[in-house]
Amino acid sequence: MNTQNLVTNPVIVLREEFDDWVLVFNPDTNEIFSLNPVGAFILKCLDGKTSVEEIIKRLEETCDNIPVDATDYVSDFIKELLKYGLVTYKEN
Amino acid sequence: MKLIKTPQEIEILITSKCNLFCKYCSNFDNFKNIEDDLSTSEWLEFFSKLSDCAVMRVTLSGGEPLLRGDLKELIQGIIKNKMRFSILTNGSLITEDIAKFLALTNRCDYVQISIDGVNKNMHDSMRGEGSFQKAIEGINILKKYNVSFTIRVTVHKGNFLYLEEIASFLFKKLNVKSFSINSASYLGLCKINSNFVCLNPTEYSIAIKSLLKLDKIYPNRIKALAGPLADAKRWIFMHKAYLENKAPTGGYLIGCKGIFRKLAVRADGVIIPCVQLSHINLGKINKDSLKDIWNNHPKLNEMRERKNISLNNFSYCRDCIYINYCTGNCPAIAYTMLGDINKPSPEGCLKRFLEEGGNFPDEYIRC
Repeated sequence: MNTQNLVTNPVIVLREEFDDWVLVFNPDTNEIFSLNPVGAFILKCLDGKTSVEEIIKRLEETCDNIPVDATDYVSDFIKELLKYGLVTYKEN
Repeated sequence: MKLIKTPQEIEILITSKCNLFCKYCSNFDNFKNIEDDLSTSEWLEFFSKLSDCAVMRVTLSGGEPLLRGDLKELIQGIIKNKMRFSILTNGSLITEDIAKFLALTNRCDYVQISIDGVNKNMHDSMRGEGSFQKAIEGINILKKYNVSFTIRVTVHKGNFLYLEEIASFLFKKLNVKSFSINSASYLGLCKINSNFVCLNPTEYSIAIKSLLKLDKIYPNRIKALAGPLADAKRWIFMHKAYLENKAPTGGYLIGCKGIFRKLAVRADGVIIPCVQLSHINLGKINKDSLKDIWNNHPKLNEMRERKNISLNNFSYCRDCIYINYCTGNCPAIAYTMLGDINKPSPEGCLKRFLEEGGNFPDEYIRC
């Protein structure tokens, strides 16, 4: 999956409440999502420059036991973020 | 309980001015010694600081927030800073222009309007001549523009016998989906007018009976966080828990969880724990760090530690059969009645209610 054209939706609010869990609030839709520390880490990596491979490399630097098929998991998770409007395509 | 890093919500008394003079205005004490409201730019600067703290929601109340000529500009500031908002109003100043604006923002959670009766006599007796008609007109304008609104009914001596009529009026004539209900508490102007505003235990029992009946007729459509319906549900739970010897759910001053989630700001920019505790000055907007106040202010931390104060410390509570299920109720009312937030509030006390002649229907307390 090409993530180098994806950025966090500029309208959303990230609330780092405690234990590295994050509440993601979309004031336009009034939806609130709760992300675990890995989900929050991935969301924060989406800056329009970072690839899935780079995200996994960064995860490996901080987490143990990254599964061999992590690319699929991360890509599926990013598709979910896109589906719920938490990330958006970067404007050129 | 872990403390979140910043508050999720802020209630702002955006103005100290009001076009009505309701006899039980609970916010009245908040406006002592406040002559001028803060300027537009001061509030806009504060909204950007709220955004830095990732605050999600702002409630604008007062006074009457629609008296602010710059209300649209303030709301645009809230939107720009990625927050949603709600407005607490008497409804009398709602115009087509403001309703259209609110609808277009797409960020308005709700507008709350007070309706205390089915006609002008019942409503205006406490809120002032002409206020009922204007509030109804305001509701109709909000409906026209599809702005989400809620109704707040305050129970008092002038309307407690007519709660069934009020519910019927709101559900069948105004076609509201739900409304919230509380009662005039010993706060603000009510402290002066309590004799002809606040219900005695016998009257409170009548209100409870009506509201429990209405709650069955209209399930989940009457909301209550305080007042007769909320007390009744809590008291029935406490009584059943006592009869069934259930594990304790209280026994400490845990009646308020607001200070773990939100803060408030007075019209002069003073940050306070809650609009009902306006005497506790935590700092000033745009001068003191909200994040620092939230995490480190000694007064706020002291309030959060109330949860460790056992009700066994209080002689009146010590022999109460409900002590293990009691939360000590609202600290603000404890303050206004007893001068100390670290005591249980007499209002909302089941033991006192029963001792003073109050009761609730038998059918609700059978096990």
